[in-house]
Amino acid sequence: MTDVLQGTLDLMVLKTLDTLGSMHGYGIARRIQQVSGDLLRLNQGTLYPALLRLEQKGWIASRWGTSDHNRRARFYSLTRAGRRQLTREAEDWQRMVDVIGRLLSPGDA
Amino acid sequence: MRALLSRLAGLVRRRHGDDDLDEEVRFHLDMLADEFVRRGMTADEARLHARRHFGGTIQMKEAYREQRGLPAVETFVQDLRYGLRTLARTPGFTLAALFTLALGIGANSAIFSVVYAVLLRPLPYPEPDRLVQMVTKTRDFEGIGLTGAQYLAFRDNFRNLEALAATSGAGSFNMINGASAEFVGGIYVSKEYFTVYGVTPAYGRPFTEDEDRAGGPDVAILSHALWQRQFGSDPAAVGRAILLGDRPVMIAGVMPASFEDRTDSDLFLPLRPSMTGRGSGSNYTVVGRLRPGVSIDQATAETDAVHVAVRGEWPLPDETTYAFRPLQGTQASSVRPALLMMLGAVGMLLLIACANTASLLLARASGRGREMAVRAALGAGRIRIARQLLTESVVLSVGGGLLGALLAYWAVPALVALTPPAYLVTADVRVDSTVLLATMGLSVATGLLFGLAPALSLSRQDLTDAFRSDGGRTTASRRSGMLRKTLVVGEVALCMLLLVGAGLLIQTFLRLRAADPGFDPTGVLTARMSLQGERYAKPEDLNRFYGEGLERIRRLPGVRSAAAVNGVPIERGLNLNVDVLDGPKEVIDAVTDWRYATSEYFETMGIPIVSGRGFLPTDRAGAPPVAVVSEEFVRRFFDGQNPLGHHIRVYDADGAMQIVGVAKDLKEAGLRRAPIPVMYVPVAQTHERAIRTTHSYFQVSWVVRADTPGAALIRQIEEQIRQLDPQQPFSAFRTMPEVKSRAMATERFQMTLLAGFAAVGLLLAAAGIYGLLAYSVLQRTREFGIRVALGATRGRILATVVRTGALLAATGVLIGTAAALVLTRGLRSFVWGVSTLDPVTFVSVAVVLIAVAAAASLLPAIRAVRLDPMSALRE
Repeated sequence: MTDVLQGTLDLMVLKTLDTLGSMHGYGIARRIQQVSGDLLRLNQGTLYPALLRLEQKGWIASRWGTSDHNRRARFYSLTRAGRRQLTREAEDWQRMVDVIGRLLSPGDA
Repeated sequence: MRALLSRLAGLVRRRHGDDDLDEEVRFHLDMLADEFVRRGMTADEARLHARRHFGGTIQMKEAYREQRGLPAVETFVQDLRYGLRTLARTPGFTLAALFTLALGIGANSAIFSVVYAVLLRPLPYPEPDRLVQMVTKTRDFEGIGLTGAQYLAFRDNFRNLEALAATSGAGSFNMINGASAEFVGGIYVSKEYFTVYGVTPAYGRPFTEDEDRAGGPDVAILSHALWQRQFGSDPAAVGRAILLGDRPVMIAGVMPASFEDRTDSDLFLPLRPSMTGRGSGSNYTVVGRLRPGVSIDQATAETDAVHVAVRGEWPLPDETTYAFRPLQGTQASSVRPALLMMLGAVGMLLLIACANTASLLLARASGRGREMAVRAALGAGRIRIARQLLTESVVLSVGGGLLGALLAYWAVPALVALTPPAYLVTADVRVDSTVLLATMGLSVATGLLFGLAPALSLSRQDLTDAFRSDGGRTTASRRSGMLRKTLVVGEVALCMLLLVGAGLLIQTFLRLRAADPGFDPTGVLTARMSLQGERYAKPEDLNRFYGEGLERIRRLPGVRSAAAVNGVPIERGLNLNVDVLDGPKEVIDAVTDWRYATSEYFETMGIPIVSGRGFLPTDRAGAPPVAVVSEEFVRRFFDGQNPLGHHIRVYDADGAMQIVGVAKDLKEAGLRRAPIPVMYVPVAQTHERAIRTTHSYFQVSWVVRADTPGAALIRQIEEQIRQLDPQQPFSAFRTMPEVKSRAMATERFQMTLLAGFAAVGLLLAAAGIYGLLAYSVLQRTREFGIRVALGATRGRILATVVRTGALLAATGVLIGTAAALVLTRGLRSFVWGVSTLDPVTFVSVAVVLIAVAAAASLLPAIRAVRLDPMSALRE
């Protein structure tokens, strides 16, 4: 199990919101946990400062709404700037993965 | 930017945001718990698991808050509140610290307001940085006086200057305006003055070219104050005539109220620059205005070119070069060293105050060891704790600064009133916004300075140590005890410096006061008047006036003798060039102080005639011309040989004057100067040119030796002279002791100020030693109890405490002495008659300091002795 790096968490949140549309904090945490299986250890509390940070950067927006269980919850959704950021970060990430992959693959380089 | 805005908004919405977050977290935890319940846990287990999954809510909220708001501001506000509360809880400490800081910062603020007004504040003229003073330079001297030829040669030839103006002090006049008369000071200014200073008369006009030329119409421009006083602010005054002495002069204009003339003149008269008269000597002060965009170096560079171009046409000295200096600097150059010295002194005072406050804070801090340990245990970082302590000390210092500014506000007028006349170039000294700003900046810096040591010391402490039962006595507190001792030693050392400085200035003053002026000043009254003008320029008129006036004064009750002279001792007189015609060596055009006097002058002033005779009534016009010279004159021009019977000459018209007497040396050029050559001639044998010259520069004095030279005598003298000439007022009455005292005004001022600072420094240092020992006695209560229980006598205990204080003081004195040996060199130009390494001063200051330290230790020592050993041990 690995700890979640900060920049990675941002990317995960953005991608999750891109997939799910509007979602509350618990939903986002659950989704990340589900997708990662047991490979990732996430302190779900660390999600909230990250959500605030993303909101301050204008990449996500939030509003209060009602959950499936009929409770008041705060829903987050991707803004247009957020979508652009996601594309950019996803590309960066892919590039990084390629580079690391090439560095780590034995023999040919 | 967006993030910043959001954060700012977060600051305001804080409470609301916290509720939101709580709700969000609760929702999250509930959902998690529900999930675990669905997986088959009990409700309690599920809640526990949910929390574990979520992580620490407190840390999360803290991180969230820091992310949301501006943590620095929030923390600061928090620390501020906390600091104010803590300070309010210990009013004794707070008051002591505030008082100390207010003294330290207030003194700095007051002196800085003078320094700022005199040295730094832009001159009160339009675009003051374009104003430059022209100076002459020879190999080792830079002077601000130009001759008429020098001014005229350069006046119209600078491409880099808008205008070049010359001024020259005009002395004082009896101004008669209809029925009222007033004694006013004047200044001669060339027509360019108005362009250079950027001033246009409020009424009327500047001088015309015609008026500024020899033989031009007689006009004057009045200061705004004089115009209000004499003409009731009537604009119709322009064009009217006034009498200056006996010369009718037309009022050409009135200066605006806003114009600050730094020579304090009431009357502006056309200079009429020329190469004769005033212009024959270096009597012109020359100020120019640079063209926009021209640098002072460019203008200076141009002087050489102009010099070369005009050298052929004008009689200019070969060796001299010229330069421009910022007017700002040259105007105040004479007081700059004194002001900087004062600034240094108050700086030391502030350091003492800082050390004192730091020491107080350290003492208090060791008592707060446990509080800080608790904070650290609860997770406050070192920096966080240090920051909180620093905030506290800055709160303290800013409070002290505010009080200090108040103190300065009140002290500055008193300070200015204390300065000798014309000591400062401007009367406009006040605590203005700049001074306030500087004070506040200084306060914050002060707070950081004295707060640093306690903050570092406390934030570094060992937790386990601090939690032991006697939290007061930790390694940190031992360390801070060392630090406090160092601070007190530093305080004493600084105090030593201040006291030595003050001691040297006090010695200077006392020696000046005790200095033998060469004559007997007691019982001598002098009455001044200006004889500038035509009425008494003829020798016959002048002698008749003096003769009849003295006759009347001598008849007054209590008067022993009376005389008249063109200048009293101690104050400088007219310089003229003298030739020795038949002396032991060739002396031509030697500079001598020249005085005319009536026959009883030497007796009246109490000046001993060391050989030959003084003046006799027979030394009258037509009789063989005679002169009396001073001892220094003989030393300088006769190689100390007997000058009696030899001849000297000043004006060709005088012919040869025979030296008939030698008078004792007086302090003619001020009390601190070495004697200068002086020659006296009988006023009865003085011709018109000499009379005109001296009257145009200096007032004359009637000198009266009387049993009681008081107000009654002054009234009688005034009455007698008024009967003789109702149009001839006196300008001032002063006894010779007053003349002497005025000559020491600068020294008195500097001494008073420095002594005051030193006294405050001593007080603070004493308080510092007292505080340190009082605290250490408190801390060592148990130790003293044990010692008494083991049989130590009270005397031993007393000696232990006092010795600690005296030892600290002695260490400080040693360090201070070493520093003073080096630093007092800077006082060389301020002291007189005493070496800056004067052992008497050093030793007496050291003794005073150690005695004060011992006295300050006595109170805590007595408390230590009074301890009841049993209760001390039980504590």
